[in-house]
Amino acid sequence: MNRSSPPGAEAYLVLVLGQVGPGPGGEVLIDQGESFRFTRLSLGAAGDRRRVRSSDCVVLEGGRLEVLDALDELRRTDAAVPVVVVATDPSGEWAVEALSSGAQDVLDGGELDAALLARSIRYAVQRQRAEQAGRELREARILRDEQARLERGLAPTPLLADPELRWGAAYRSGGGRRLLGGDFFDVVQVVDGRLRLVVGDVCGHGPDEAALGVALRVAWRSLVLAGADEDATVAGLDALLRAERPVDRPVFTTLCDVTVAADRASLTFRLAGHQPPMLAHPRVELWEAPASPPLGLSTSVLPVPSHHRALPPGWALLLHSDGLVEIHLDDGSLLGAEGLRDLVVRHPPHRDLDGWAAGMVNEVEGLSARPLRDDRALVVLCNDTEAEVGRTDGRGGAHG
Amino acid sequence: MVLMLFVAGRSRRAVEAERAARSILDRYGGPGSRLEVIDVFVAPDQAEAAGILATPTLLRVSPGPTVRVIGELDDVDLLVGLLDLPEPTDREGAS
Repeated sequence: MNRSSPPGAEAYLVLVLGQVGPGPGGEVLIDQGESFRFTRLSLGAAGDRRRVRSSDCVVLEGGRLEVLDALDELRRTDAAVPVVVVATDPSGEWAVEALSSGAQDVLDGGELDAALLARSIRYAVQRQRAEQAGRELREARILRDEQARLERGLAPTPLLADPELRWGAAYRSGGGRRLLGGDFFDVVQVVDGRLRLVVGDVCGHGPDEAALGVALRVAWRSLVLAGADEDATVAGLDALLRAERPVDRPVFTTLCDVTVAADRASLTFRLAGHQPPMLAHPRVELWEAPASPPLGLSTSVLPVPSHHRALPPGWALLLHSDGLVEIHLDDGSLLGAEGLRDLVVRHPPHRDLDGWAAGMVNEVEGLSARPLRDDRALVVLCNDTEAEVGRTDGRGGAHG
Repeated sequence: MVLMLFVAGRSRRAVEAERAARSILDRYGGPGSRLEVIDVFVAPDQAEAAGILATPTLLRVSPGPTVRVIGELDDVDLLVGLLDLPEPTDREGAS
């Protein structure tokens, strides 16, 4: 047992700011089996952020003017430390003033009983902790709701009318708090029967990037529904990105813009710094193609060249964000598009496309040797005329 | 050893604190050891000069540095630890 502490007791660290400066020895208050270890400093040290932040409580001992000045100093330290005032002059007239300036309690110091001081410190600390916990809970709820709203904006419900089409998607944010990134995707069937698809990735993480991703995704859908062709759509996004991004940061965006022909037998895609789409069924193929620079980097990259591919009957198409392939493996290498292709070969799409997409993201996450900070977005679209990928889950078609 | 005890009147806590302080002196004090009991009602200036925050407060003034213990001062063993006194040894002159 530590001889200098009551057994099993919590030690409160209390900074005493008063007219008596620091002494060479120790000072401890014992009450109800708990100890309160005092460190004395002069009142002028109220702005000592390091000392204030390392304390559970601050006791201010002094008269009205000194205490109010010290409270003002403490407020500037931004430290969430409770303050108990011990007034060396009658506090009746200024106690309320001290309380409204941030003190949790005001005690008359003339004949202060140790039990009363201990109780006041204890209550102030517990009250502060309860308030802090409540604040953090409220912040967590706000953050969760904000992230949910942004995720809905980044990963919307596709607009599909063709009953032969089914889709599935999975979207995972980066990981910790405020790590939601700007990955987005969308699928729209236009009036002439063509399918327009997009997946994009705003560089960076955080609410600003996520909001920019939502803006780009909504802009893409608006342009497509308004009848803009592929070149005009990509150019529109590039212009919007330049106009909406933060002025102090050169944010850029990678993009894969895909159009499937109305007969579903071919597609064209445009790449701005992004991975190409992947054929996931009936065979798995990586469609290698040169990518233009990401949007927002230069005005000279437009228009982005298009690439054409034939589609086999009963195809399934997979689009994904960079976070699904830039995965560091145990051996130090990157998973890459080839690694993702191999996973698709081992785990081909099945009837439950949402479940399959979530399973693929799980597989990728399981391979990562490092904490995942980047968003992971995957969308799969199936043209089920051959019924090889199945259609018993009731998903797809009839949207929009 | 010199101990000072600041109390506010003759409350139960003050009496228990004085009893514990005297017990410590009996066990650890050598020749010349003494306990000064100061009532803050009687000598407020002395309490202010010593920076007494609350009562009861026990000070080990000598040997230095000064160590202060405030509050429940009835547990002699705990006080011995808080005042950082050495373990009792067989000494002549111990009262």
